Amino acid sequence: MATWQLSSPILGLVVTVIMFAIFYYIGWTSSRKTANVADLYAAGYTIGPVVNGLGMGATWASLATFLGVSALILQLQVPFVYLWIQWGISIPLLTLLYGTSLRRMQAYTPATFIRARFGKEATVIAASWMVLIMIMYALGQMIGIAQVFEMLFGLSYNMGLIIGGLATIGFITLGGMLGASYNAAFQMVVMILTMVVPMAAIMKAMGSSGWWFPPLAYGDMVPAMKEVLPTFFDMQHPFKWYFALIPAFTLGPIGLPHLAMRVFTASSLKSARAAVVWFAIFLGLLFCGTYTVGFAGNYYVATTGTQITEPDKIVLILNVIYNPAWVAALVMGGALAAGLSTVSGNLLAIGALVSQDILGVFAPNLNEKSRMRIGYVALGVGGLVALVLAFNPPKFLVTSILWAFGLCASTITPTMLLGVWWKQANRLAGIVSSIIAGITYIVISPHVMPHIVVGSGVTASLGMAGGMVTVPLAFFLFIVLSWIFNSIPGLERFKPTEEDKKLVDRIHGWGDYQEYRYNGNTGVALAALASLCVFIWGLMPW
Amino acid sequence: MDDRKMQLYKKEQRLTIIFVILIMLMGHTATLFVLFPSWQGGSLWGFPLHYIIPLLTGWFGLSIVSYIMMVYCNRFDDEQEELNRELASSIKSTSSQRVVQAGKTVEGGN
Repeated sequence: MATWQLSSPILGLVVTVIMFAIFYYIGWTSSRKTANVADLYAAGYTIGPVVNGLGMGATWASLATFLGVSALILQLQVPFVYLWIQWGISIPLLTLLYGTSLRRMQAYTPATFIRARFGKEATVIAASWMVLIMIMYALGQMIGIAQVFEMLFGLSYNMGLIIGGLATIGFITLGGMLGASYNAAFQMVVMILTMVVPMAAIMKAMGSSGWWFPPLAYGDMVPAMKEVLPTFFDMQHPFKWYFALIPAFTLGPIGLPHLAMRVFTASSLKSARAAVVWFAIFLGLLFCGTYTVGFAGNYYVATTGTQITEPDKIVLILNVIYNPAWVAALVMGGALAAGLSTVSGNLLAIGALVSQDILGVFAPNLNEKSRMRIGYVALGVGGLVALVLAFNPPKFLVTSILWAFGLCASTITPTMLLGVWWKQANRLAGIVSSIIAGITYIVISPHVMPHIVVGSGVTASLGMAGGMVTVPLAFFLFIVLSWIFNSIPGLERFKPTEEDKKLVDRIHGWGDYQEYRYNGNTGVALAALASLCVFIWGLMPW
Repeated sequence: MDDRKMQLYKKEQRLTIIFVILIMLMGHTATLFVLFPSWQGGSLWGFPLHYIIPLLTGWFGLSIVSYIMMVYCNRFDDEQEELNRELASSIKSTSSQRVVQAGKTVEGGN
């Protein structure tokens, strides 16, 4: 293990101090411009497309991307690359399906829309789910930050967690969304440079003639890889496995509040869409860099026979082995940037959800200053909860994050999509379907009640098998229960009101109201039928 | 005006469905190689096709689709804003006509 730490802790210290100094400076400068709630959670709706595209990429590409992907490629090989590729479509889909609509109503979080569309009870339920999802997500980042500190300074995991975690919570609390947006943009640049550039040296050392462009030019190493690891490029799984990526992992991130909030910070709708293009370009570059790390990690393990006991550290280990210590220290700085940018999005989402959405229901008359103060406290407490949970981490840091995606797809995404696109979506149906699908997801995953599980192995622990059951269940229940509840006279108060319906037209940008818009039953009937088929398929043995 | 509203509404639905399908395809190209295993033969830049194509569609393909989506959705927004402006001005002129008519009625009444 000793050889996998930086030879000099001084280097680690220098990189960390410089990184945090920049993050704190950006946070401090931004905090001086944070005057109200809109500045704190939506950066005053002022962020331009390039900064926003970088920020979207940084918020999305967490430590899971920097450390976790290469670790799981080491275990699952190419199928995990396929799993990861489809994350890139989340923000384009989110922007298309509801991001720009919610930006029109100047929402702070998706729960702001849920409150206007489905009422107070649904808001409390949705916001509570979102807080839980954000904590699980932040947990994965805290684990990674602790691991980076462990390697940078040779600290114990727990000590790394305490120091790294507290420093992180501090800088986010300082700068709010303005600080987070500009920091995220800077962090994405750091991530790309520290992921891609040092890989060139590693690929050169491994003998690749395509070392000059690590993301896509290592094809000449493929024959050597096939020789030492013939299974690497095998697709391994049946069609069902690949299909199961859609319910949990494609639909999950669509409902993630911290990703949606990036779209809301845009200075205009056109700016938000332009940001999506930049996001796809930057994220693609970073993602392809991580697949190269996964390839190189597998190649290194297969050719040297080295046993990697902590696979999450493979990118750092490769750099410690092949690159000078200062380069390895910079890469660890990149990993820190990855963790910080995402955890800042997570914690800001928690702050906004608690202070704006949940408190907006229970204490609607609270003044803006108190609301901001409570938001900061919620943000700090959310960070501390994630930090405490990280003392007993799962084997892979990606596990808690991916599991949270499935929960999000089961509880939030149906409410968002049906709320924006179907006027007949009923308030009570939304609450009931969200609670049933969410609890079922928790129960059938192997983490809570190991004897009640759908699927097995990694497919179950990552939430893929569970999501294939509970996501279609949520859609099916929401649609069918909406039809039923809308026709029961005793449940009048849960029926969509005229104001709810007008809101749907308004957020789609229409200057007038038309009853026929978003009011048909054919599309949702087909969606309900498809959901039922997928639900049954998901229940069949894997 | 009603026809234009309906046409524009249908256009929004059409654009959304088309771009959802295109974006999904860019992210899930690998699934096609499982559905059609015969596509798995062959290589590009030294990589097996079923590895490099999903990488390329997930990066460049998605960037291109996002760009096209931006262009079409922005154009749609402009059309919608134009319609909203016409709607607002027609409501304004109708209400001002009513005011004029109401004024005449009052004058006539005097």
